[in-house]
Amino acid sequence: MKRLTIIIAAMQLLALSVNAQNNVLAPLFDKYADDEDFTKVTITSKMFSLFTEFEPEDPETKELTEAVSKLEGLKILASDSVGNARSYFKDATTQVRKGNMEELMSIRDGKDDMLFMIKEDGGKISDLVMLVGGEHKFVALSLYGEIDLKQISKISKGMKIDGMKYLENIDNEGDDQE
Amino acid sequence: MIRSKQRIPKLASAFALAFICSLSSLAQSRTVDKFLKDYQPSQKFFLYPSTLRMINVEKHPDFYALVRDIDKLRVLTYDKNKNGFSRQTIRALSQEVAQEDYQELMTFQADGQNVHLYSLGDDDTPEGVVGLVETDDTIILTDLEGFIDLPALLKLFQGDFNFEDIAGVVNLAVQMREEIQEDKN
Repeated sequence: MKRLTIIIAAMQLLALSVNAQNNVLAPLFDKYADDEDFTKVTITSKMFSLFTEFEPEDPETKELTEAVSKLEGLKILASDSVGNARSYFKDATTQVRKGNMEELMSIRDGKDDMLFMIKEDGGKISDLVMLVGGEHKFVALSLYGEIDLKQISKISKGMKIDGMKYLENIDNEGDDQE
Repeated sequence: MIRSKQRIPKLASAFALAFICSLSSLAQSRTVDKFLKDYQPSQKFFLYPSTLRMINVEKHPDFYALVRDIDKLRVLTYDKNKNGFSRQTIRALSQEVAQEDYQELMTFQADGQNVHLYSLGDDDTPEGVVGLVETDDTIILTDLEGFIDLPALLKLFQGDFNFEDIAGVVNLAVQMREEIQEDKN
């Protein structure tokens, strides 16, 4: 009985540690944890789950709240003042490609390169990564949980991160492919 | 295109306001209590429903919705140099809060700012939230009693509501209070 308890406890610990390390950007966050050139944001599933408590009156906010409540986390690593931003972008792209993700969209906007990648399983998207590399600018964003591409536009509008404006067209892209 | 330095802090500010997410904080953090016992804050102020309505100078209806169920917001500010605090202080505080039953809501680090938000309780019965904020010169601890409407916060964030205006009014109120106290002394 004692042995069984230890095994169950070990399995729970293992599950927790796998979840914590599962995010594709986790190694990047660890790498630049003490680098003050970067802005780092982490929003946990607990924060998103708090949205489920409310029943907003207007349909638009209700849809956004529902979309947000299915998310499990958001991680952002960003800087607009790094000297070798393009190498950061390359490194991050290599890192993300290792994570069994498929490319959704790539964009060249002026001097900035943007790459969107997703992890999909059984028609469900569990991870969306956006990478941006410019002359001095680097952004790595990972949104994970239950992601509905049609809701992404609402989430991206709601979060008001400018780079995510490109995500607003993703649901249309999906429609085009169908 | 991506104005991370402007947009991400705004996002973080909005979520930082959300540290007051729908919480009835009958429970208070032992870590914050102990810190208050051990160190004298340079500023300590409380915001009540009446004050929160008053700082809504533009009388924004969504801001009223946001704060209408807040019972009390306590803010403690510490001068880092005066108290000999270092980067390690906020790290230790974060670890101690996490060692209680608090769960991490979000972290934000940029431009010398360091924000950690933790909540206590489950989704149905949230019990409290602790906010730890470190800037170059200060450490700020926040504690809330009451309830905040998150969709209202989202609406404010989606619109043109300026959270910095609110911060400005709060700073002004604190300044006025200090001046009154100085006059009394």
